[in-house]
Amino acid sequence: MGHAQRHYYDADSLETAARVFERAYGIDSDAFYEAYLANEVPDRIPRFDAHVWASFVEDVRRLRGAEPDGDPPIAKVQRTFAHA
Amino acid sequence: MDSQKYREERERECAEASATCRDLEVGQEKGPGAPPLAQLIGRAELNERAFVKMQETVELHQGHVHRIRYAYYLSFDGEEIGGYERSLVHGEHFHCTHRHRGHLPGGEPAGPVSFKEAVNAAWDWLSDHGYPPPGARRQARRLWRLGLRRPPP
Repeated sequence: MGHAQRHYYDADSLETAARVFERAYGIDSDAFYEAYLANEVPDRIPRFDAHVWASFVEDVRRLRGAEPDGDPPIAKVQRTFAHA
Repeated sequence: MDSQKYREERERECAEASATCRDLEVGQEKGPGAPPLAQLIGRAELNERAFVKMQETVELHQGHVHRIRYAYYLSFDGEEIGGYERSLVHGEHFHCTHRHRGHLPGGEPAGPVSFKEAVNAAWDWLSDHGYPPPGARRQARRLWRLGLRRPPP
């Protein structure tokens, strides 16, 4: 079982995916992410879904260049995990 | 390694762990000057009632796969039992056995966990609850006949 066709994603496709979670759980992605940062995600959201949703939000922000401290997005990611 | 080989590698790992890959999606980041990042999401089905949900964000570089973030969670009869994750925000590796409110999101710090280790842990939980992997009961009976372990349940 394999797929010859390669799949790609960008900020638009990740935003579309995040909206699926918004509709499922009735929370805006920004509000969800704020709760996620504060470890206050509602119990009704499974941990796996919260993780995936947060990853979509982070990548959309990175791809749209919305890093608050002005760092190039991927540089920040790479620096964070340079020790891993 | 590219995303196609990454996908094939995961399918092989599933088969080796007595699991079946379902709804497996692997995508590569697109854009001018895009870094070699890819995302994997899907399920490793263990039996008709249990599967491990998996998500990984990886850097594919010169034949190596470096996981930036990951999550592997066991679902049994539609309920999330627990799992392992590493997020960008929290940074540490977490082992989450249940959900509850509080500063730590229901988890405790843990070391890095591979996909295969997460699936093996899921099989351990299932075995403890009467659902061992295929062939395990046969193996247990064989070991019992050889006098190497106590009688199987």
